[in-house]
Amino acid sequence: MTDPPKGSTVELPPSLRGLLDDPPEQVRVVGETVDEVLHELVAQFPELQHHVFSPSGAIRSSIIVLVNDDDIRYRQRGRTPVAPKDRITLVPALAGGGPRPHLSPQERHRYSRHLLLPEVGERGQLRLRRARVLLVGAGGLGAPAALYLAAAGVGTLGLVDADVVEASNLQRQVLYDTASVGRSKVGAASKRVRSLNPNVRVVRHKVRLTSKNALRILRGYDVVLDGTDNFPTRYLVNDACVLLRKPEVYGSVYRFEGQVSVFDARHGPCYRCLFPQPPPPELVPSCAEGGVLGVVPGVVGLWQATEVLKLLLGVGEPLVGRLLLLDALSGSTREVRIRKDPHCPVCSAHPTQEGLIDYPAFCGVTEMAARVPEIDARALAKELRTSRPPALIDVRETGEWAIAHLPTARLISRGTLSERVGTLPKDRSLVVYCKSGRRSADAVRFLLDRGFTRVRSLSGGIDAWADEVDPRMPRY
Amino acid sequence: MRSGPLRVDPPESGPTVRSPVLVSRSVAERLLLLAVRRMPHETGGLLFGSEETASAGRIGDFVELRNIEPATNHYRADPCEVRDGVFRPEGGRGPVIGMFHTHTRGAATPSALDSRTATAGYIHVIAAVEVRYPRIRAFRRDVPNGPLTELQLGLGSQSGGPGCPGGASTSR
Ligand SMILES: [Zn+2]
Ligand SMILES: [Zn+2]
Repeated sequence: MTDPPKGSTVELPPSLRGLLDDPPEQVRVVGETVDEVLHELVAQFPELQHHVFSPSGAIRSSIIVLVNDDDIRYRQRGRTPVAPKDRITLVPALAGGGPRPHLSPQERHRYSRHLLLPEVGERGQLRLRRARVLLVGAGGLGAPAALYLAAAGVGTLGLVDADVVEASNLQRQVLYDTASVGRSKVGAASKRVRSLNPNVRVVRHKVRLTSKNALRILRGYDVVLDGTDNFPTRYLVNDACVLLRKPEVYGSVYRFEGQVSVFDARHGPCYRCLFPQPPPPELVPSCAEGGVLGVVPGVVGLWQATEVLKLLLGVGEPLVGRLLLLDALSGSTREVRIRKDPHCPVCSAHPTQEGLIDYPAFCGVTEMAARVPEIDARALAKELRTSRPPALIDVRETGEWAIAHLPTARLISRGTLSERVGTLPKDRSLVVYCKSGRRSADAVRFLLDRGFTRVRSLSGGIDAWADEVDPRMPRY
Repeated sequence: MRSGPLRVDPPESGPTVRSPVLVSRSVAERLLLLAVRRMPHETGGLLFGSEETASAGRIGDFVELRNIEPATNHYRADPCEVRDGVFRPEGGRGPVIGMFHTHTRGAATPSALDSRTATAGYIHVIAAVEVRYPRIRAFRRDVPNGPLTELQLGLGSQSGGPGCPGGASTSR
């Protein structure tokens, strides 16, 4: 009879057992700590000395010691206690990594004002280089943000915009110049960004963001900057960011006012917590129709860019749960606390909406346009030359009327239509128009509801008239 | 995956001429595909020798082990998973003859960390998704303090012909 083997069991990987002439099935080693056990092991098998210990006597970093299932580096390393029933396993390390990234001398020079800031430094600059930021909309908000984010060294900038540059964009969209008019926005923008900072990779998404493509496009980015000018896309961007758990830096402008916030549903409210329902479409002129002081989107877009950089660098207090209101006319800013809505349909603990939806329908945009009778610009031009032309009603604002209007038209802004409806003839054919056809469609629906029967909306608005009938008409 | 031609170049460093490590084209391509799929994160795992030759110089298969390192330019396997792979290989896999990990930036060249952690006696394969083309290279050190020298990689078919030499340079 032999005594039962004493000590703890040590398992050696085949690479170490292969070094021994007659490797035993199991090695039993006595010791109270890992250090004692391993020193006892190499005393029994001197061939293992250099494989287990470095010349300085420390356990080699190419060997990981497990006591049962615990990595001793997360316990007391060599002083980790060992009990006789414990199983000690020597495991080859499996770790590695690419070369540690660093800035080139040219990058150090270019970003030297960043490197001087302890909050940025080389580490932060490398984080910016690694970052991927998506700008949804390369317009008034996206344009200044794109320029400064590129200058700051953000490594990848994605741009989503299906539009072409128009002359009326140049009043605020400083990414473009006069020669860009007529070119695609993402094409002109990527050229400008590359000439500003060739280190930046620009990814062009020359599409309209839709429920079909949003998740696929947004997935590849770390932060999304919302520079959209319409409610359907804004709700779409919000919901996609919530679903993908990505922070969204929100901005919007109207006339002389702006708003900025950061929506990150993991740490605070989302856009829907703030605005659960979109406003009725007739009350929301888009930027194109509403007018805006050109510098206001500049200020707001740069504030958004600032929030993006803070998120990427992990510095400061992001505008999470806070809505910043800027008023250029009064020269004042105000901050409003926003709370997470416990019943938010997308970001609450029990969301009622689990995927993306039909956002134009949610915002009541397509529904309305589809319902009213319309006439196109060429047909209207023909009718106006007949002996009994229709009466024209312009439902835009005074400033828009002053830029251009159709001859023989009457200006009755959409907001004053209900009080002046009595002045309109019910027995005559009426054609209502605005800039794009949206406000006029709403006005036609209003008139149909009040007993008018021969009333139509000019499809595509005065823009379509300028495109198809009178190219000399001033655009805005 | 269409990620460019698979490059298997002659070793760039190390004066020692060694017998090549054989790897089938399908294993090499699957390794690169994995590297591309995990972008921008690194990944890694264990390399198994093929059963038929029981040779340490022939990579027959590999298994990916989860990366427990949050930084994108690092790979670290859970040591318990390494242990299970090394001591209790599943499904009739051959012996563990090496490890691999991917580089998402830079070349398929061992970094300082790679040199520090590469265990002697194993083949260490680096699969890099470089700017121009993806590439795999193999390295090995014989003794704990010894240099990490490059091994020639030979591309073979999955089964290999009778004339395929086994790796004779490994410690057995
Ligand atoms: Zn490496
Ligand atoms: Zn919410």
